[in-house]
Amino acid sequence: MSKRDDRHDLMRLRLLAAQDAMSLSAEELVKEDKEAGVDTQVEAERWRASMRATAARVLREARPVQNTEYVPLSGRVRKRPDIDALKALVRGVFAARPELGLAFRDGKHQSDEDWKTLYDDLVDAGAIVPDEHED
Amino acid sequence: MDSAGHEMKPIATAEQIRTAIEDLTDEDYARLRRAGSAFLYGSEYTDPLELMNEAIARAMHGAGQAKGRHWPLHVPFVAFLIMTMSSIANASTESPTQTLTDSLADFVPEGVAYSDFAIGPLRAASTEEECATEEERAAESAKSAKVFADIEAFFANDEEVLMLVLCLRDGQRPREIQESAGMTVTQYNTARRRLRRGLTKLGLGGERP
Repeated sequence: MSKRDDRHDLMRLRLLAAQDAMSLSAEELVKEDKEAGVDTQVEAERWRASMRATAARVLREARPVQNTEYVPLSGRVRKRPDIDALKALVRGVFAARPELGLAFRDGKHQSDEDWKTLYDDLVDAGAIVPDEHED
Repeated sequence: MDSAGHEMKPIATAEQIRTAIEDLTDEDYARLRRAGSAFLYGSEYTDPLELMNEAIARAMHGAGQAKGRHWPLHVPFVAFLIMTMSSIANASTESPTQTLTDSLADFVPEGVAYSDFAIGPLRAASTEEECATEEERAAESAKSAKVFADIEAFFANDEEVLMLVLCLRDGQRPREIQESAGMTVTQYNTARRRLRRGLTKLGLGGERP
């Protein structure tokens, strides 16, 4: 068996294990978790929150900057307001301009990272004037 | 069709990926947790959630970009995430330009074509990078051999799982393994379950599935 085959076989072995994970019924998943002392629902929410935060972080970091000297307005803001004031500001904008709410997903499941991204977007869109709210 | 003759399929946007994360059920997360846990042993990861977050980051980077990890929208999100986690776990042991081969066709999640995942490497390496990593790949090869030795030692007292591993290493596909090992469907499925639990135990040091 060549070393190259070892690497390839390891991938196949892992996928074989994944096939088993996919074959488990909802009842079997809960039963197995219970035996291991895991709350299926709590663990699912922990993963969801973590994945949500990762996706929001990538979006924040991946903003295209076409002009290398250009810094978006949100990037020029010295400091965002604290998170509660920031949420109040964002809610105020949506209350005043409901048409913007289409992109807000009803305000549900928003992580702090989501709120910060949203705040920056609204600053860049001119809906929030940062100078008025900086810490 | 693109220049390589592949049919162009719709690729998810960043917002579609974020929506899909919200739409996953508790059972989906439980399956993803198990698949990720089984991928840890022999990889650089020690936490399935860390591996999953890397998969999400790669998918988000690929959204709307010509290069990167793309989620073809006709592929179930769970299947896409499992295959992406698998690729990441294997990334250090793969050639950077290696894509899935026919021999993996029977190992992708049920109901999905393996060609859906033959969508290019997670990243493209320069010629310089490939030369520079030759030594690293030799080290990874030795590491993979050791991982297999550990796995075989772990299952030394479980003849059925050991047979499953040996048949797989012999190049057999799942259906062939079952036949040549003389297993019933139930025996094969329970052996596969013990394999998954064993890999999880090795990867997590005996922690939860």
